[in-house]
Amino acid sequence: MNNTRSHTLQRSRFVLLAIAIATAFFGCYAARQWMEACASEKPTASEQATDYQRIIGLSPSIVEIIYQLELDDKLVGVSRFCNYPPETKDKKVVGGYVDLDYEAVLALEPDCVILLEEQRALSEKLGTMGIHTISLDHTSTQGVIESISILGKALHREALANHIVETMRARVNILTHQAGDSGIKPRILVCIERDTNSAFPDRVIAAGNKGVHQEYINMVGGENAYQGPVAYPLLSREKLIHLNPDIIIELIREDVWQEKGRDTLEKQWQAYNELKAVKNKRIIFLHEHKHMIPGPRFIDTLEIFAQAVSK
Amino acid sequence: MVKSPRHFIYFVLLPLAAVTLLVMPWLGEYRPAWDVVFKPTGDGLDTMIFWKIRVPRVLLAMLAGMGLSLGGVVFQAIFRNPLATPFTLGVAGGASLGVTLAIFLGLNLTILGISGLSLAALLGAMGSITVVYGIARATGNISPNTMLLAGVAISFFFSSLILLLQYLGDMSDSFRILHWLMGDLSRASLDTLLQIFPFVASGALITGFLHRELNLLSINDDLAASCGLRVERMRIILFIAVSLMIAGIVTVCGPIGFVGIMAPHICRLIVGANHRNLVPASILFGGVFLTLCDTLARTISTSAEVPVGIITAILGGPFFLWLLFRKSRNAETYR
Repeated sequence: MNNTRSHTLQRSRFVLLAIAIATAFFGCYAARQWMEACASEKPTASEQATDYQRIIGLSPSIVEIIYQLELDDKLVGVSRFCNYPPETKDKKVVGGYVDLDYEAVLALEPDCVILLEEQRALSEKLGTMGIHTISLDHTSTQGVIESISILGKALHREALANHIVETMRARVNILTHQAGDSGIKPRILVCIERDTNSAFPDRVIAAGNKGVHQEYINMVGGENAYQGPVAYPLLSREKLIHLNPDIIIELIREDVWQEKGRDTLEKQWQAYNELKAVKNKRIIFLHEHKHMIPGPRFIDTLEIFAQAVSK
Repeated sequence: MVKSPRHFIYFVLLPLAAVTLLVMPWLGEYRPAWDVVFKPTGDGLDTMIFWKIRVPRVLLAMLAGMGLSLGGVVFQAIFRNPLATPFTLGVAGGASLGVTLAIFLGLNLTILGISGLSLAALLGAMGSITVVYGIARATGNISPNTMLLAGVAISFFFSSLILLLQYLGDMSDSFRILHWLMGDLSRASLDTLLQIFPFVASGALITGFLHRELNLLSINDDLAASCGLRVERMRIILFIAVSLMIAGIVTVCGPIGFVGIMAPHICRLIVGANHRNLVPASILFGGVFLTLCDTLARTISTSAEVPVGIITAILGGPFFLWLLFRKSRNAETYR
């Protein structure tokens, strides 16, 4: 009798527990749905007026365009990766590429935050705070050029933007036409990182089939020496021998360039003198800051790629 | 260990948690006016920063800390191993793999109000639970050691897959994955709070309901069975319930390590091993600890936030070691 009663008591406690858990889940779900419905009734940020006076740029390439459009007086905040032009150091830093100090953003009272399409999560959260955002595609040269037009239109600098875009398109046309179609495509390896403290090119990371470097190679009539599926492959000596590029273009950070110098870096490559590019002395170092950023100064990088191919 | 664990919980931890909740939203670079507490629905900057950013974030940190700590307590009890946590058992690894895969494949959908990333984390965690349990069943031995070993193996396996996906992904994906893996509470909002709350509440309810069973499981399987406990069934129920709770937290906050292993051990040193005291003490301690760590993470630098997982390890590690040495020294004194 007591045993049956204890079982019944136990069962009713389990039922109560199950009801409490189900209520917590359904209650929270209903509350979230209600909040979403309330939020959708409010005018969204994109429906608001667009006469921007206080803007934040969240990537180095975006900030460069803002300066090109002579809107630096309206720029109130930048990301911690933005360091060009040097005047950006006077701007308030509000976060990084995927992390944002939302308090700092709000304290600046921006009416527009300009960011990259990959920063979608930040854009969504800023939208819920009523801050208008403009997302730009900087994964391709075409995207960079178009983003100048987009910003020019949005920030009332259309004439200047059109002028910059036309100049850029003209330069791109010249460089791509120079490449022509000679039939022979030099095989280019773009080394984006390696251990420069080693006596030989150790832990070489190359630019693969994604990103702007692949596009630069195609635009100047070359072929990426690496044809595999990895975006940034790590290449051993054996793999380098197998790829045997005609040209090596290496991106070197400015501080490393200053510390090591061309002679040391070239000497390190000499350790791999079985490579065609090393043998023929077709190694090009890109050490200036502008070559590291796929922004509006990409034409300068493209020019060096074109020169490397035409030699 | 304190003489009266109940007193410690009611007169130290509970007031500490209350003070933490009341004070932390006021700390930060921006100083909102005090009367903002009466304007939760206003449109001003103070309201926005206090009510829409800081309050949800402090509450999220408290809730996540409570859940992570509780997860550690339960896992250490049911596996009778001081190193058993949702991280060593592959639950967090499964959730992380889910998120990594979602970022890699560019999944961008929302189902039942749950974002694609959160859903992927939840599925990943559930997948890891199924695999761990499946391996233990396949070996014909659902003992704590078998499950623990299976969990550790799965955790390593998932870590390797995450690295592989990072390697195959582009720079942007790799960066997002890396940042997510560091643990982060900046996504806090009323919505994310409501997303996590049922998971933590259900985990806490189930654990509170089964605290006697936890005591028995933490001692010995035979003893538990002789007291009428269906050991295997109970272990599986607790394992799944707590894993889902952790998955719910990881979906929003990322894998924040160290709280789950450290908070239960510190509380065990203070209030003893009886789960009637250990569960509430760990919940409160974990919540307070993560909230303090997160406040430090968001205020330590003016230009960027330090990932909270780094702060938990830097602060918690030395404190835990100090407590451990102090305890062993005291034990020698009384010998």
